[in-house]
Amino acid sequence: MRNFSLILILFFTSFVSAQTEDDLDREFLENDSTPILELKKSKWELGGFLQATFHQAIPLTNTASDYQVVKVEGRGRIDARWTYGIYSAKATVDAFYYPRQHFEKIEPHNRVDLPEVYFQGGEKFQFKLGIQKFTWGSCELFRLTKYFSRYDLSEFIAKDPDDISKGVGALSLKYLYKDFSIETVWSPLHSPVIVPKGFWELEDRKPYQSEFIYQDSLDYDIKKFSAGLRLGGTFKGVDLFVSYFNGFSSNVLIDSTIYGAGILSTDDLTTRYGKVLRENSIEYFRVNTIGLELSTVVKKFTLKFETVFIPDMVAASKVTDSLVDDAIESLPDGDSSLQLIEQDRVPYFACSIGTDVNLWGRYGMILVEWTQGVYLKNSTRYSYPATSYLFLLMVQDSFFDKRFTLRGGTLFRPISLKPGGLIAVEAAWKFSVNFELSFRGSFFFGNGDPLFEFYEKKHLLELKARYNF
Amino acid sequence: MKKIYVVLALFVISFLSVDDANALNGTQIMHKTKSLKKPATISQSAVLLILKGGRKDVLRFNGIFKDYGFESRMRIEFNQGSRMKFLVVNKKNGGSLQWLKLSSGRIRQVPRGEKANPWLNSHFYNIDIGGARMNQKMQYKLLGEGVVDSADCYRIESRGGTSGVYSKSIIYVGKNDFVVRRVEFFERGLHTKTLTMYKIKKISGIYTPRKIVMKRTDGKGKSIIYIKTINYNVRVADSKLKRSGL
Repeated sequence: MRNFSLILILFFTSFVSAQTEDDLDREFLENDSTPILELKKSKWELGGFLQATFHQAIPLTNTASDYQVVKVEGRGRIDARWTYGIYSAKATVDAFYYPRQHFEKIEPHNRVDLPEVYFQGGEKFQFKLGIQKFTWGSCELFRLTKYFSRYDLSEFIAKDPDDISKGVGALSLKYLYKDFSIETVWSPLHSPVIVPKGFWELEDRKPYQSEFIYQDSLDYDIKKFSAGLRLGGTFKGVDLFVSYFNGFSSNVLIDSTIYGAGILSTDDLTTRYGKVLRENSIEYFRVNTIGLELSTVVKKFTLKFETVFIPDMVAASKVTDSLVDDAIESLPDGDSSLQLIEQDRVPYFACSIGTDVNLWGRYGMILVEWTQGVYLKNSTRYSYPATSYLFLLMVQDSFFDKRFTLRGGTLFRPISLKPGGLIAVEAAWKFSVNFELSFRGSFFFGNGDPLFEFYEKKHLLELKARYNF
Repeated sequence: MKKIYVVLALFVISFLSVDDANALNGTQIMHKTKSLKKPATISQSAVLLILKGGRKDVLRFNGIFKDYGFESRMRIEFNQGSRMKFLVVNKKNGGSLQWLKLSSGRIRQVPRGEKANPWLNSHFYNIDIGGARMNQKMQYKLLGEGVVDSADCYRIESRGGTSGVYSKSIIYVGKNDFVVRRVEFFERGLHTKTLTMYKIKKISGIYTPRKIVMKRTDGKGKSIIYIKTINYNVRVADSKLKRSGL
């Protein structure tokens, strides 16, 4: 009830109570005779938001999947920025509160996050030190050249899209010359992916015991840095950047080993299942990457293209159920183990290409994007790269003076051996520039695709209220 | 190309006192206007009010502007009501580039095809941001006289703009000070919007409106910009006026 009252207050404060223009002049110009010249070298800016989210999975039965996906989340963010001349410091603090248990195995917990905390300065030469987000990459969803990021796989799309990519601790140096820039980045301990406990891709359907060695970050070691260089700018209306990266790829792989103990040779396969353990763990790999970004406008179209070439990408061999069974059957008596996945260094190429266009009215937008990754050697031997055969289509329009926004779209793999995807529809009403209420439904289809398997046999409904201040 | 800046974040029309404007035609009056002293740089903060159907949205922003001669650049950074940043480059030859940095950090180049779209849901269009230019091909015709905010004005019709959005405009120029006080915008021959400058003060020798109103003629509301602070010819960082500096 209290929440309802708050919503009403916010709703009605967005309306003007018959203010005349003279009233507005008094409110916003204050004393008309006040000199308006003002020079401030130092200033503070504060902002942020309060957000409440209710997240429900359908069907509501626990038997539909291993996951109880019900989320009630309270969230507050404070953005603070202090500027002194050419120097500034920024801190973004997120506080999360979960009054109700939701994900059974992923267990998000009450916490405080620091998505961005940095100090920066300079004009032609610029530096930025601290936890920061990089704007590398031109595409909407899969930004292949956004090397410096921490992709948070916990909850996956059940959280705000902006939160999937988190800031990284780094020192960046930039030099600007005319419309071009050169930027170098060094991240002393770059763990590119946050893998949650109970990571869905490690769930096994076989009756043997399976264990995931949880490791969401790299052990501290000064040698485990990532470094990158990006140069480019705007040339005749085309935004063009080339980049080089040496560091840990966000395409992490899963290592998997079968352990056996005792006398197995006298057992049939079903009995052996009860005597073996499958152990999975995440593997991070250092790679070299060359990237290219292009973006330009042609009439009503914004065109975007990104591509990367990685000569020393690590590919994981396919693991089928029969391969696992063969491995279990071949385990000798006594303590033994067998690695299920073979990893090879192979050249890799990926690209994203897309466009967005205002096709009708003033707000009617369509966005399409295609992302493809391919191993350039023995590609049939390996599992699909995570970012391949991905097609994104989004349609959006706004009504009632942009108060009401309706958007829908799909992300799916149309060609993969195990196609899957999602269709999402969202309706949002903006009561004022500061307050928005939105409802979203995400409907998953297809089975067996690791990207969408998390929500297998479940769909998601989300109601969210957000107040910016 | 000669320019008159009707810069949204700045909305500064530069003027010069004129000794004798008798018997001037439209072109001569506009020549007087555009030959006035103009600021090389501007730094300012402002409030944008969007008034539609009884609703009032309040957004605050900072803006910087620099005239490089062959082009001008402007950056607008919202700090209340939105977190967007805009960078506008207007080339001397009439070309224009616009970038938008979303709160998510993604930078999008705004297509020219969206130049007639509302700017941040206000009554200004994207094309209005960063300055309306008048080139040598523009034709001015003195229509008569009018009054704006108690100031006697010339009414001048302007045609031949390259924006592709406005078919013509009628400009009200103060008879005494040659300040542009009002612009009526026409789209496909219909008068759709009116821009009016109020509370004009002389700051650092430059006439500056503290209040700018863009009002639709179809009754669908108006947007008001209140200039809170402004500084002319101060140092602005070139690095902030580049795409890589967003």
